[in-house]
Amino acid sequence: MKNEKHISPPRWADKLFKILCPPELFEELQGDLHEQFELDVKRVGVKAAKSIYASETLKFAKPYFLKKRILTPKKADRRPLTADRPKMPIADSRQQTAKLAMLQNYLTTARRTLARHKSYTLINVLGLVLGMSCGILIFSLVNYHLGFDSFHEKSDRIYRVTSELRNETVSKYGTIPQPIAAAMRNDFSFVEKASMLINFGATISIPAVRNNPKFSDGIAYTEPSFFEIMDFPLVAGDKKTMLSQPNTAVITEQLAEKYFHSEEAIGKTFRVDNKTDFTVTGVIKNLPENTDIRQEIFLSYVTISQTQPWLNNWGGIYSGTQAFVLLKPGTDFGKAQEAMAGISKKYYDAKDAKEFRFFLQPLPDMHLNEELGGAIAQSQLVALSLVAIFLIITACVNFINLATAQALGRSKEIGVRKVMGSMKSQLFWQFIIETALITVIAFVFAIALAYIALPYMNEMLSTRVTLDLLQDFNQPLFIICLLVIVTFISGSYPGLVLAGFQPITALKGKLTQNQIGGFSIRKGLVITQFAISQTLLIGTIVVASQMRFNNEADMGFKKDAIVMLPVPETSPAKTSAMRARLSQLPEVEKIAFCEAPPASPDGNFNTGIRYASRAEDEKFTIYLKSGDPEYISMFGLQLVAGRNLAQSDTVREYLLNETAVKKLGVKPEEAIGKNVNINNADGIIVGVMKDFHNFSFRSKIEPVCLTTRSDHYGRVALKISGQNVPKALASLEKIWNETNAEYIYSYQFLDDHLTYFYGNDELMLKLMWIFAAIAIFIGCLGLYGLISFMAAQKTKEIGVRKTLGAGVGSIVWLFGKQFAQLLVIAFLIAAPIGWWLMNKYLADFQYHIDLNATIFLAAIGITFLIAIVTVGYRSMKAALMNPVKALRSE
Amino acid sequence: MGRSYLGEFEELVLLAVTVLNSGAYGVSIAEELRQRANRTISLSAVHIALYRLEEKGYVTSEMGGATLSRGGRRKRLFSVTIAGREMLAEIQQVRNQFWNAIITPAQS
Repeated sequence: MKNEKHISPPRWADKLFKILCPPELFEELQGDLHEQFELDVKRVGVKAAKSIYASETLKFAKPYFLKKRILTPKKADRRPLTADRPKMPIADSRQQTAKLAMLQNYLTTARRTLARHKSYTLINVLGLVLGMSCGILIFSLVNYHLGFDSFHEKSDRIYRVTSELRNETVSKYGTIPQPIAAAMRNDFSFVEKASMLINFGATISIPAVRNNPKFSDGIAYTEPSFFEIMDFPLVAGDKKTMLSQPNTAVITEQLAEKYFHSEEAIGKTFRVDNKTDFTVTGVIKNLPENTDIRQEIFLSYVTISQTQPWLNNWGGIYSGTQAFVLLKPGTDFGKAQEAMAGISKKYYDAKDAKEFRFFLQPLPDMHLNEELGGAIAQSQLVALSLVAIFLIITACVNFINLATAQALGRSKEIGVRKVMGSMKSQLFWQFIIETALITVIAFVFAIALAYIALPYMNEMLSTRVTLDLLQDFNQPLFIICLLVIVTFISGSYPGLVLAGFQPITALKGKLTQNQIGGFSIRKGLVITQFAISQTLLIGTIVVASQMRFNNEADMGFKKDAIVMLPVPETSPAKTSAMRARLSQLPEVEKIAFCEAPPASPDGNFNTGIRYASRAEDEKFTIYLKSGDPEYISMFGLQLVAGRNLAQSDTVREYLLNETAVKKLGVKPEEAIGKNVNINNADGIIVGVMKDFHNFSFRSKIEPVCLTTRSDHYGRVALKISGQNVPKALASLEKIWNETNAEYIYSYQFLDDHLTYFYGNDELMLKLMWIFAAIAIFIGCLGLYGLISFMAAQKTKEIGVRKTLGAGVGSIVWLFGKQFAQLLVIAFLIAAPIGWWLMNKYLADFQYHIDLNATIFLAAIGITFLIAIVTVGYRSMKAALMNPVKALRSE
Repeated sequence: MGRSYLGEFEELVLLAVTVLNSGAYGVSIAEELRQRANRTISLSAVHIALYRLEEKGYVTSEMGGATLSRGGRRKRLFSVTIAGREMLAEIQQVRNQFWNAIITPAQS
């Protein structure tokens, strides 16, 4: 054992143990724990042993040891541990007995108070549970997003190459022209390794297996060095050579199982897109959940670099191309970034060098930089964290409110305690313990709730967040912090107020609301609470209306009842065969082959344009869309001048949109019949289309042209008529499968396709609904608690008022006016904040709704309605009470 | 004041202490229980049982010498007292009576 490398148990567990363990038992217990740990290491391995050790340590937090621990005198007595150590430490010293007795007394009083005021406890616990479980969930989510791709051992030296296109506007991309990895490898001494990663979607088939099963999976062409830059552990194969030969592939364990079942995958063959066979030369472990690299099939780059000439093209950027570089240790990032300018200079002519710029992006930034295609923006994470903090604060505010309100009822207890010699600090701690008790109860439920809600959250956000309190040490750390902070925020103010009572007034029962530390503070807290929930509500309403606008506003083309199917093979023979079969279906009204619908999140190709006999390319670029002559009528596009395209398989004629013509600086009529060169293909402008939205409402309408290019018709759009849509879809699937037997069928409605533009907004809306609902609910719990308390306090006042002839209405108003006031003040705070935030949100959309008074009125209206429902019942009950009972209650 | 009675787990621990004779301490007892009773045992539970047994007077303890394997920390070695042995014997006897009562009518 002495010679073996010493493996020590987790240090945090050791530290925790030192806190938990009674000092007189520390030596023997820790010795036992460590010995057990060493046994476990031999038996089950280091990792499992560590987690056993951690849980063993935590198990020492049993009442038996904790009691002993607390009873130990503060000046740790370091008497030698011998057999004659005290058998019954309780008898050890009088001071300890007193302390224990007081602790027990605190706990007993706390338990009794909580049990006596069941509704109060319930309201508090419920509010805290909701607030804390949201906090836990959001923290895990943020933690998950921040940890993306951080597991790579060299992640601090790994960078992704990004590009910027600067013409009229600056566009940024996380993708780059293909030859860049090779160029960086050759030109820069600070680059240790560089690798391309080119993603495609593909159909995988396995001819060797019976029935030739087919799968639709993503593939990525990459170089061998990819696996030396990133850490994806190998199960089988040789890291250095596995992707060096053409037609070799590396797949994940999971896919190996899916394709080849339990057989050894190495040496097996699969076919990509019914064309090329690849042999598996390596198997990697399943991809971890927190990486943005999601392809599970890696194909050797040499396979396509030999056959695809476009791979050597510096002039275009395909949206699936990424390059990763590993810098040598000690490279100065700033200098490397500067050196990147050399690439533009060396590989482009003077004009293009200004246009194409390249940069390095640190790996951790990849997930959080939305501009460069990251999954979530840092600002969104900040916003989420803020919401979590707000929700926790609202829950704490509830607690403070209820506790201070209740303090009045406990004035006698406090008075007696003070008279008996209780110190201010002791009283303070008593209330903290009481709060801690509630917090811990709430906390257990909150964790349970978080566990229950987690799968739903993951499904909604399509994330893979896990809650594992023993594996990820950030989580328990956070939870302990949360516990302590919540306890102190909620407990300290009521504690201070209660501890500050004058014993005589307290005993005389003469304390009034005002003496209990200001109704104004409580008012302020309620205002804060409602300002938060109303801001959330305003936000929710605005986002919801914008989403409705997005889905319902006219985009300038028709999108109803249009189904789109893929066209895997675009040869004229194939497409005309497909058209013939499809047109036989009675449900199909119209057929148009095209590259993409008028607005589409994918398939957009931006290129240069040269008009008529002008000497130079225009300053702007144009989006090139391809479709057959049916395209215009299929999508209901209108022509403001000229005629539709004539049938052709190649580029002959162009339709431009109004924006394009305006940018050219000519009138629509003038443009007709002029020659134009777009994407290096000459054609004649035969017509001008009315402007339609070619992207989401986030972006302006861009210059667009439409032409015939049958080899680009990757989709067929079908207008479906008739009532029986499922039947029509079934017959479509049948025909498609017959004409494209080698491929996998899929279909999509155009309006569904367009919702991809707003995927993130949809999510945000859902989240905001949930959070606004929770915030309002917590706020209402607090209101309900306050009103119940007020009703109890004012029993006598109400009795007197009623005997003197006050009506129910005036008594309800007695309660109502205060809260109405508070809500209005809260609204006055929330409205400008909401207005400001939502203006920022809407500024993101080029076409958006206007913020109007209705939105704000709706927000305050909803809050009022909910508040009336909450407050109304309780105050009605108080108002309807028999005054005789109230007055007799003494 | 009557005699303290033993819980099932305490009884097992006391038996383990008896079996291990002079080598009984936390880890060895937990190991013994794992092997014989075939169930998961946590160290903290074993220790609580041991301290309770000691308070009840069924075991005594003393600190052993320092050993290398525990980073120099000493162990607390437990041994069963006469009262402990008597208690075990008594439990055994009560159980035997019950078993006899169960088995005898079946045979006749």
